[in-house]
Amino acid sequence: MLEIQHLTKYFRNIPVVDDVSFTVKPGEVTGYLGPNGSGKSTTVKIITALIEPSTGKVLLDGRDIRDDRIGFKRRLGYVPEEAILYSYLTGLEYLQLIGCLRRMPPREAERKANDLLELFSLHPHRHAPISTYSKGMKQRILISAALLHDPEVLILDEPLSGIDVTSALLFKHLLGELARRGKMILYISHVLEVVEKVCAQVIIIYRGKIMAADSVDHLRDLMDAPSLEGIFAQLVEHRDLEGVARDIVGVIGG
Amino acid sequence: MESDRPLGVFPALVRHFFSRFFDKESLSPQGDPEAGVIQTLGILAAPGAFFVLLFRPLSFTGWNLVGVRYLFVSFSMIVMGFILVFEWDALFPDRHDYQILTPQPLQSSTLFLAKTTALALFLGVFLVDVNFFGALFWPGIDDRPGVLSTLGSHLLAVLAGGLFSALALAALQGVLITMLRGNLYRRVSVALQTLLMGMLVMLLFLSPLAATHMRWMAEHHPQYLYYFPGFWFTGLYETLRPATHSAVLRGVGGFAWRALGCAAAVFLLTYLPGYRGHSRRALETPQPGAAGPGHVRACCDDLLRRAVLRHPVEYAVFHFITQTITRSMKHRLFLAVYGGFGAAMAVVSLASGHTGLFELPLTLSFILISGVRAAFNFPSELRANWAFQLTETAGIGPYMAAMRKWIVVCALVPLFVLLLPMELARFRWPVALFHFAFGLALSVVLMEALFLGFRKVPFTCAHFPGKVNLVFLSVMYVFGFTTYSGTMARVESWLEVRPVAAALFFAVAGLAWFMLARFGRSVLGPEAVLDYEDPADPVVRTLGIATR
Repeated sequence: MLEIQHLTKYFRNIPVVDDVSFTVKPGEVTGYLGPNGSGKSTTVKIITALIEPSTGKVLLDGRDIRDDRIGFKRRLGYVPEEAILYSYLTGLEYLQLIGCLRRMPPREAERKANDLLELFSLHPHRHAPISTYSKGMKQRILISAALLHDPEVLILDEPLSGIDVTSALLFKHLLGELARRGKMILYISHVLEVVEKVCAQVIIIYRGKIMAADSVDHLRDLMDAPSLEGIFAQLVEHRDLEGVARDIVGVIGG
Repeated sequence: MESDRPLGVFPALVRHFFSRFFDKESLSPQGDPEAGVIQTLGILAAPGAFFVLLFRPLSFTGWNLVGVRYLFVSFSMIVMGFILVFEWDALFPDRHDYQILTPQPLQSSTLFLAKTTALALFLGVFLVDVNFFGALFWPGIDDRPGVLSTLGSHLLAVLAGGLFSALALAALQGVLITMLRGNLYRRVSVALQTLLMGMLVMLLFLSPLAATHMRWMAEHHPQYLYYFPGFWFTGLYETLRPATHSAVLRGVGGFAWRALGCAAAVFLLTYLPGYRGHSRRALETPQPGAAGPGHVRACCDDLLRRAVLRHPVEYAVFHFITQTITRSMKHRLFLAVYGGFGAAMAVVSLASGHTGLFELPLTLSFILISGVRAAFNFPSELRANWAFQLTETAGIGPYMAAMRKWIVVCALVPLFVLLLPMELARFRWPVALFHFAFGLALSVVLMEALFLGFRKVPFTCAHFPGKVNLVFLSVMYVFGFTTYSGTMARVESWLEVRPVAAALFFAVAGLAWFMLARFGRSVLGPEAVLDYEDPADPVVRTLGIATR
């Protein structure tokens, strides 16, 4: 079980993540939602040990990840928010690099990379540099790289960004399959329909603080809202969005 | 209002294309292109100012004056060459430009004219910058009567030389882009760009040698003066304002105008068709890459994996270094600079006879190792280093081992193998083999010494060029070029005829390597981690004199 306990992160004395606690259980997909700038990506960077928290800790199976960072990284697969990859490497070379850095024998890394490229419909492009890939293709490379070493913990930050309909459908099935195999999955997204369908529980964060943490059904009952979109709007977005849209059209028209 | 709009679009486009020439990570790592421009202009103007003020107290006449003229003409040409090579891919708008500008309501001809104007402005600014101080103070060096004539001929010669250099290289790229397509164009273009960078650096370092030998060439081998364009424009200078009345030099000068005309004509003939083809291809969706690595590469890879790279992390880092060095323009050009410097040293060594031949491999390996070390410090696509940070699941040992193995396998061994035929031509084969082993052993020890305390995966750590330790670098290079090569070449010569002493040398070298490696590990400590951030300068720099 992945436990996030009282995480706080200050940037120039401003708390961007403020006393955040939640749990990601094995065999479950946990949704982590919030508007831009709410602190989602900072939380994720702390969990992946890319940055240090100001206070609080992250536990994996009851053990602080700082006590064994390397052991934690071995069990972690991560898809970052932005597809920042070595653009001069080919798709196959990138996956081989990641596989070998994950201590997989080169032959095995190559075989697994080729298999994943085939399954993600990237095999014909495996020898082309990543700089020539579309956004969706880069995203599929990131997903493949995160899954290559069969991790126990998966942190997926906007994994469907730029991905086509077929790949998105495939990904939804894949998430279900991975959860059935007992993986701990933290899923960060703005696409509420997908979150509603695949996540057992959702955590909603706003301005660094957790606003809600429960199952979608329970939240629906609690907030008396028909969908996750309604719950999200009630908790996070307090502006009259129709009015803002009218104002934008007014500005364009001069 | 309406009539204002077309007037504003063209200058805005020119300004955009002009600023894109400076929009480079290598020029402005901190993302401040304006500071990068000012720094670059200052750096390029400084040598002209320095040398003209250095030479000004002396009065030159005859062949001495021709030699000094040659230095200024060739400097102008070489710097313009550097700029063109550095901006090799920016002569035409890139994919990014097309993606942003094509959806805008702009005529293709407007884009073309704006790009051409920006290119002309860019070259003009640098041409003036490089030669400004040289021309300003020049009349003090050539103090014969007629200040205006002196100034005018100097300006004409250096500007014509610089312009020729820029046009000739732009024309070369125009010819390539017109004649070649796809992968072939990219491969040839990359190879040519690297080669040109190396050649320009070599010419820069050999300029003083060429300047002092011009009279000898004119009197004994006049044909040599036709081999390098720097001599043509020095000849042009001589026709404008004679210093020696040498008929050979004036003859070469006549060649300069024709060369300038040819370069301009080829540039004009190839730039427009090249631009059209380039704009068409830039937005085309690339087809899937054809084939992967060939059979030979796969065999080499297999051999390396079995014999050298036993740990998967070593395999990953080794290949990452190869891929970055061969595909990152910044690193390729950086190493080409060291390569050009090495080639210049080789020419000087070969010209200095028997001792030079002993020193050459050691000098070249010293340049190679220090060049590779400097290149490893420069990041490549720094933000992508999260992949290394997140997968760092072993100690730093395999990362550092991969880096050292790469230097030996891909840099040192190829260098000494390349030099082996020269050794075999000059010495008996046992002596040549001894030289090969001696140079390689010494280079491995030198590598271990230069990489003490280094704990980065090459190209993955942030780097602040301003923080380079100049004292350490100066000591290292002074030692390298004065003591190391000379002393070790004498040791090599002494050992060559003493087999027992030679065997003892290899034992000592092995022990030195072992001790250095052990010392390096103890410096890093048992729980060393890889560096990804070069610590920035503190906000407040103290004098460090506090007692507590």
